[in-house]
This record gives sequence, structure tokens and C-alpha cells, in this order.
Amino acid sequence: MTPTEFRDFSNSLYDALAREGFTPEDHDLRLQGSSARFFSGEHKSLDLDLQNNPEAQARVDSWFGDDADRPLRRPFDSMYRLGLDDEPSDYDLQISSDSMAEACRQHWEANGSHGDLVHRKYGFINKRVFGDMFPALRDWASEWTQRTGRPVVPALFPSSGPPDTTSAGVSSHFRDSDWLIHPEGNDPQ
Amino acid sequence: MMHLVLVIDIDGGIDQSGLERLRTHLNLKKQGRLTDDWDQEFGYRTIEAASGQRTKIGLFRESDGSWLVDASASGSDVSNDEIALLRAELVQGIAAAGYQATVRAKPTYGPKP
Repeated sequence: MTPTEFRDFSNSLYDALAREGFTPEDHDLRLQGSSARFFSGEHKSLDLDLQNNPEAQARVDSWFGDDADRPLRRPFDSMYRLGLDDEPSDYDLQISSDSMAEACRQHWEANGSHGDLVHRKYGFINKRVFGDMFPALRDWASEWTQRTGRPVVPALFPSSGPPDTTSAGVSSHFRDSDWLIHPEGNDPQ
Repeated sequence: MMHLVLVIDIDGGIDQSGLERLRTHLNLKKQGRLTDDWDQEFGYRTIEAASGQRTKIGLFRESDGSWLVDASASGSDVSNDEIALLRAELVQGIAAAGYQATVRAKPTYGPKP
């Protein structure tokens, strides 16, 4: 994504959230995953068994040659470019907002729902109720999925953000190094 | 806000080939990766009526590993006839993909009660 595209991406995201009735003060927006950090988490190793896939092995060989210092984790888009995934890497969007989470909880309860509203392992709000509660945001994600050719995948958490699930092998809890998405005019220099 | 109008549980587990069959027979756009256990939505499409009413169909995996198809409408005035037609179409699509469908008596979020 170019800087101009990213500005459009960010501004249109804030516009979509405004159509749902939220102001920038209501939420914290961060880009997560390999689209923000370039490498995937430790749970996605680049140590791939390609014995039965000579084409992918040839691509790996062409990429790294004899270099023993190859990455341990998968770089952004690597599985797609090696022909091991039929879809490019996605844009993981982390939205943290107590007011949005509370709206989902009310809609969940009003429908007499069962099970866990909050995912036990990763802490996000059930994506069915999240999508139904905020259709403008879902439409925004669909539009940007088409525009970028990559899945744009929002996930909703309470304002405290995702829990620290490092022990489970992957965690997207708040970090100082996170890629925050700021409203227009408040971009960090 | 969209209003949940229909939920159909899909019995049994779904592998990659089964997922592809479901997407094909339900005419859904692809979404999500089966290998990513945080992914919950795996296919979708939207029906837009001349009246402006939008109905979104989605294929989901709940956090307990169970699968379902649901339909949500942009208004709450979807007729029983429209829901019946959609239900028949989706049940038929799930069966054509090789799975058994169970329609929830009342549409709810979360896994099957």
C-alpha cells in the first residue's frame, strides 16, 4: 500500500466508524500481523517441508540460494509467492473499543445467543455479531479487500485490547511498537 | 445494524475440500483460511432487493469448531415467504455439498444451543 493509499484507507475507516456513530475518542485502531510487522508471529515458521512440492522448493532455492541466514519466520506474502497459499497476506485490523463491544453484547443478548461472545483463546468479539452490528464497517472492509486485492479483516476487542496470549504461541496485545492508525491530521511525524 | 433472520447449523467437521464445495453450492465469495484458528467467516454474499433491502449470507465457524450458515437483513421487515425461499435454497446447497443442515427454530448468535 502506498502512503496515499494508506491515508485513504485510514480516513475512510474513520468515516465508516463515524457512520456507525463513533468518534475517534471511542476506539483505538491498530494494524497487526505481518502487514504491519513484515514477519509473521513465531507460530508461523519458514522451516517448511517441501519434499513433495518441487516447484515451491525451487522458488525457495531461487530466493535464498545457499544462504544459511534465511528468516526463521514467514515474511509478508511469502506463502502466496511460494505458491503455498492461494491468497495473499491480509491486513489484520485491530479495533479496541468498550462502547462497540458493549453494543455487540447487547445485540448478542437481545437475540438469546449461546456460547462465548468473547473468543476464549484470542479475546475478540464474536465476528458474526460484530459484522451484523456494524455493517458500514463490514462494507468498508469488503471495499478495501477488493481495492487492495488482499483480505482486510477487522477484529473487535474491549478498550484494553487483546489479552496477552504469548504462552499460546501468538499474541496481539498492545505493544509500544504497534502500528497505530490515527485520524486525519493527527498522523505522527 | 443488521437483523439476524436465519441460522442453519451444518453437522460435522469441514475440511478444505468440503469448504470449497460449500462455497460453490452456496455461491459464496471466499474468505478466511481454514488453518488460521482465529478466522470465523469463510464465505459471504449479499442479496440486494429492488426495495433497497440487503440480505447478507455468511458461512461461519464458531469458536467451539461448529459450522453454520446465517442470513442477516438490513431491515426487520423480511417476509416469511422470503425467509422460507432462502432457507430452502441454503438447505439444498448445504445438502448438495454433502452435509446435513439443521435449521434453528429461532436465529441466535453463537453455536447451536
